[in-house]
Amino acid sequence: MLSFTFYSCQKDEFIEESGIESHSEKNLKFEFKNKTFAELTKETKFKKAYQKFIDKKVGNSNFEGRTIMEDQYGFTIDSSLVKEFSSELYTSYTFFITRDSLHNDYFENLVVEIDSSNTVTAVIVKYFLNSPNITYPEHKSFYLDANAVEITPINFNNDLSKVSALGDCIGIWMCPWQDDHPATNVCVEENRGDLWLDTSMCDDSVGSSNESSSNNGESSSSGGGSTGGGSGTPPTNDYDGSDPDIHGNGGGVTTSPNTGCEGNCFEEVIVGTPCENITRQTNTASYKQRFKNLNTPENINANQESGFYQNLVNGKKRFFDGVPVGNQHLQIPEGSLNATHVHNKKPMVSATGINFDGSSKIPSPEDVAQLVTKCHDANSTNPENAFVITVTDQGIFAVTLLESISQSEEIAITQNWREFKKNYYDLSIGIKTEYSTPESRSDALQYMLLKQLKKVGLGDKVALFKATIENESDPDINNYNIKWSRITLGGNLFNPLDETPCP
Amino acid sequence: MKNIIKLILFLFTVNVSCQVTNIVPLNTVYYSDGAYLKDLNNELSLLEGTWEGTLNNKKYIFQFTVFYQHLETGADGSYEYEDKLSGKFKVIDLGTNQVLYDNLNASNYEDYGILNFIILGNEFMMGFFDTPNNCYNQADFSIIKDPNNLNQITYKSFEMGDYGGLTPCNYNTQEDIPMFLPTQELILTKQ
Repeated sequence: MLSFTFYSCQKDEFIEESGIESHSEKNLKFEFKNKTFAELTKETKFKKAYQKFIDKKVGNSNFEGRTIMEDQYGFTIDSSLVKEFSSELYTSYTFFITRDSLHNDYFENLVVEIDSSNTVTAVIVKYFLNSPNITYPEHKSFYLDANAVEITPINFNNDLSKVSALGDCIGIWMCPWQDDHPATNVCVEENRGDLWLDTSMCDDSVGSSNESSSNNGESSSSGGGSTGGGSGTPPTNDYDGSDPDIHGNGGGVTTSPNTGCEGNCFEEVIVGTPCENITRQTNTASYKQRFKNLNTPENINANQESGFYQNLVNGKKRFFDGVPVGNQHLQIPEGSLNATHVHNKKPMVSATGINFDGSSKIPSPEDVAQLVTKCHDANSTNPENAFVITVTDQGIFAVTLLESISQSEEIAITQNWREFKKNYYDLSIGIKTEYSTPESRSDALQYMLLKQLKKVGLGDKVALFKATIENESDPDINNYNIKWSRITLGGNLFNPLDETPCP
Repeated sequence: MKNIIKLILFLFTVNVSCQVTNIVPLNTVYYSDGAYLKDLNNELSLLEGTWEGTLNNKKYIFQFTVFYQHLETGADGSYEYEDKLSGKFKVIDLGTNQVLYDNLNASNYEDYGILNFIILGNEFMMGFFDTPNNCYNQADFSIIKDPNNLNQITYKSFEMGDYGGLTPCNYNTQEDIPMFLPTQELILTKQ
């Protein structure tokens, strides 16, 4: 059972207020901010640093697409929340990393740090968790129960000279409140005590033996490594934000760990109208960026399906890339809250030479099955938030749940499922081969799907939506909009479909 | 007496509700309740009967049946009639004489795994729909008739379709699900 608390992961457009005033009183001139990737790309300092090591696949400067670095190291950056930590001496940007597979025992960050001489350092930090993070929603933070990290330097532009010397430990500014935890501006604003720098997180694989404890602000370094005495010690009031062991001696980076969302990442579960549910969930920057990357001619013309799904990991919503299996179809795992995928084109020639596209241009029976089973169950008490989106070259569609499906209802639907599938493919092949225009085909397919859903007993359970994209070529993801319309059966054969735009 | 009246009223209601309201050609999409999607050109019957062929030391026996004016009712109370060409098949390993697959004992429409989608010229586009135990696995193929030789047809263009339904699939991948339809071209002869 999910507990519902209450910081949304969907912090798409906010910038946290700086905690610099509190620090100014103590001569601690550093600040914590949360930003989106889109916001950062408007900042010259970040842009310069980022362009140094991120060559785009597409040769432009609009920061679209997956980078060569992401491809080389096999990860994707979550662009919706970037943690910025800045002092007079350096600024670091910490990105949450997503990969294709699910892991509950660690999370990863990309940390990009720029020092006062504009030297850029970039590392991947992998935090090995002893237990799931305990969240402190009041502080928009969490208790990090990890005692080991793995640090992988990013070799950008194949020019090692651009990578500054790296230590084997990282520095995390800590807030001495309740169990000491990574600081945010809230800790400063609430005057929770002096922040202190924890440098006890070390990469054992590179020879560090630092074992300093940090939870109470007292350290007991057991020698070696790049973080010696002083690490884990609360700073004095005139501390300037630098740390001799981390930065003075060519040490590692300082970071504000990023779990992909702010503090307590359990998303507040909101259930509204069917229109509101699909619009809200597909209108976050992180979703839209993934959707935009998916909805490309390359994916539509590929020889297999592609897509992504959202799952809960340690209580937090995470996107994962789907992997096509079997006959190039995308399967989503148990626990998927929703799924978005491309039905790739399947040019076919019938045995007697008739050309047609064999792919479903609307949600398939298998998509409906994923919705009413895996997504229904994963959304627990709020199945109205479940959706499966199908991207085709002839339209973008979503099926969503209107209400919960009881066990007895599911049994009844299961009994008719084979006939539902037979009728769906029977009629859709006829439509594909006999309707001459994309518009008439699409309308007939939508009508057929809605009618068959009714016949199988899902007429009051599953809603069909159709989307159009606004500002498709706008580089700012905040301007990219997925506009939904609800499609329902019309009253008669002269008006077979009704389309109602979502407000 | 009251019950008899009720029964008569019930039967009358059922009769009225299941009347054919209009007749439309096969593959019509937009039709009203009670429509009869009829094989107006009488094409479906061309495949009716038993057809056999051998491929890779396996004997394939197909039986095709037309279910005329098959009544389909929906959970929503809707209904229509349709002429449906359905099929079932059996596979025997000629090396061991072992029956690998046999669906020939099916008698109800719902138990037939093969369904004709559409007829395009000489081509019958077909789909095979497996049972829930086999994860509703689906495959498509075509049957080509030879207008000059009505005793032979060609099976070809086998292609795997989707799979999965509401019940958990006990197979890890679609390749793991047993599939007994021929995957290569095959000449079938009428018995």
